[in-house]
Amino acid sequence: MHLERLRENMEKKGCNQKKTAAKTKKKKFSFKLLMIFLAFEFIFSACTAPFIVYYGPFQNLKKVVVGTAMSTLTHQYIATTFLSKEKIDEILHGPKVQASENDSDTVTSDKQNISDIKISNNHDSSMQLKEIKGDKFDAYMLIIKDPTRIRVGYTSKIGKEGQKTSKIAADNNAVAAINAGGFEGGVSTGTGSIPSGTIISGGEVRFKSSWLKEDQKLDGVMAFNSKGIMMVGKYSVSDLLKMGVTEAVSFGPTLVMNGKPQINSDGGQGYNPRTAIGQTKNGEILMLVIDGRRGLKEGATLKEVQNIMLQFGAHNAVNLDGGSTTTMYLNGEIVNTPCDALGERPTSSIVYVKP
Amino acid sequence: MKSIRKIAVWILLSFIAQFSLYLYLDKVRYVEQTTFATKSVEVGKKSYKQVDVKIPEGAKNINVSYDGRYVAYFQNGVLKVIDSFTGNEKKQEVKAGNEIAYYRWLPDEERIFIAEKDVKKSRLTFFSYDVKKNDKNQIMKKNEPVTVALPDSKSEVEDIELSTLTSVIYVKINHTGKRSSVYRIDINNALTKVSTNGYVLGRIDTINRKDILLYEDMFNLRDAQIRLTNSSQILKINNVKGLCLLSVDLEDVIYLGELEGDKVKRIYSGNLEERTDKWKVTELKEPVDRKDLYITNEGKIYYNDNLRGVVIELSTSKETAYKGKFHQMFNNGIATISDNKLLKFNFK
Repeated sequence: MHLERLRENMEKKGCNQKKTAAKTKKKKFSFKLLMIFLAFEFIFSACTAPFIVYYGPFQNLKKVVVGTAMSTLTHQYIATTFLSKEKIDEILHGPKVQASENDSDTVTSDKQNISDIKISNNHDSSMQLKEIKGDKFDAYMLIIKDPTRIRVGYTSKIGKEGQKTSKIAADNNAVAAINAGGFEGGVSTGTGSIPSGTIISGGEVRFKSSWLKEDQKLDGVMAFNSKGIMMVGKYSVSDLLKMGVTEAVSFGPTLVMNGKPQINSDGGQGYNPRTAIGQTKNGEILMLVIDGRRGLKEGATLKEVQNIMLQFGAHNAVNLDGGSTTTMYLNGEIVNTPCDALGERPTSSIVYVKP
Repeated sequence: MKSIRKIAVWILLSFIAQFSLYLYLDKVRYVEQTTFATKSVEVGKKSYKQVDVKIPEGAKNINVSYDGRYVAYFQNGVLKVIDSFTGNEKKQEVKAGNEIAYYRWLPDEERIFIAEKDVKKSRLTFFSYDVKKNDKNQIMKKNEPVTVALPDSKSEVEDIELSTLTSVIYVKINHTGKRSSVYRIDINNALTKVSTNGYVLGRIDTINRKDILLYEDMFNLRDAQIRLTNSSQILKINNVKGLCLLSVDLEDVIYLGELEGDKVKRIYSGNLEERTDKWKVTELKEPVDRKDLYITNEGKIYYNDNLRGVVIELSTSKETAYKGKFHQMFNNGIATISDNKLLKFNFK
């Protein structure tokens, strides 16, 4: 507006002839000018956008962009072109802060209080399915009353080929299942054939990654003992066996331990489809799948997964493999909508519910 | 001065637009959500009855899903899918100006992969349709539809093969003058044209665990050469001429047929890791037409004896009798058509 007025003033000062000449000239070139204007706006915005996003005041947006880019394998350049590795780490995980302000000592004691979980001995065979409507995703929570029904299943062709969650579940006569541990080459063309970390099922170690050293602790373990108590946190395979664990996979990170949230900031992985598992104080198992990567339904941050777990009363919870692997199976049907074009993706391990 | 001022205003405009967008994303869109609305969903085991599926006059391209539950066909340019458990019908309309160029059921899922053709612009776009959820999704790359431009209006999609474990899709397009080309869409929806030896191609098929396409190189029309996209190797069986590509099962066992005229008289099967002279040889009692042969996901070989109205499993000679006109086999049975109805007979 201000500029228009300025121009008018200037034109008024000039003689009439000049004015008409200027007007016709202006009309003649307006289309060309518009194109130049649009091209300029586009190029200028494209060039400045990374600097504003990465170095500007939008902390939240920055985390989302960097986190989402870094959690893929092929699009990390979006972040790495403009930011150093240290800077990326700082954006995603922040300068080391403690998990909770009023419990500054919880971080040092990262041991789970197993005795917190009280499981009643009457084996209630009921299940409940809840649909969750988030702003940026649709999700399903399956609540299983009796935790002693939980088992880990895995592809029958370990090392050769992965299998779909529904296939492993059906082979094990499962009532319900979710995908569980990660696998090598997961993001690009992984077929789920080679698991990552460990798989313990039926009290035996069914798989151990070759890179896993003796006594090396795995981050984000999900383990069950025969009483149905779920353990989360960092454990080595031998720790798990010593603790009497009969079922386990590893992925992580741990979301909730001893009722306390474990994720700082947004979790540093942007918005993606997610799978997670939790246990309430009275032993109920919470199986969660969150769909995403579909238009405006992008998925959830790790923090939001944690928030859902806390809302459902999780005392302990851990994140499992997400992205296009995220699948929930119930009574012979797939409950959620896996985001891959070919539907359910093969994986190497699942957590399932015995009949 | 004027132009400097102009550019300054433009720069300002760009900043205003960017900052308002970023402010929206930062403060509204990407704000952490802490409470979530929930709704209970009924859990219960549903039981299904089989319903007769009527096939109307004029229905074309009738195909059943791998498990036989769903039947799909074209009618007046619309793709219809009928659930034989409930009788429910679902329609797949296409955008004005588009037509369905090809569709195919996944070998192990109740899902259809669709190629749509924009008739005017002569180009293809692709969709994945989850039948159970009635959810159709376009194959997109960076928010743009994955598109194959056809060189002319006579080019047609002839086949689509899906490697379900590596999530790679191959689309075979026939052009005029027996030329074909094959396009590949990988798990990240990146589209590439497959480089093949020559351009006269017969059947194609994929390996599931590895991203390899098998194809019949038909340059020498009498004698197809079975080639692989990852090497210059040709799949040959010693002293055998006239091989054809039959199938690849879910265990990645490749089935090649030895032809006598147009019919298959012997089947060679094995995987790429084994030498072909170690492959299993299965004799057929009498030569069988390619369309009467079916190999299941698990590698069982069935063939149709049209005169007697039975399908025979090759290794055990178990027979399954059927009624009506033989239409096709699926993973666990036979589909026939009788009095405009689709009938199913499970393998014995």
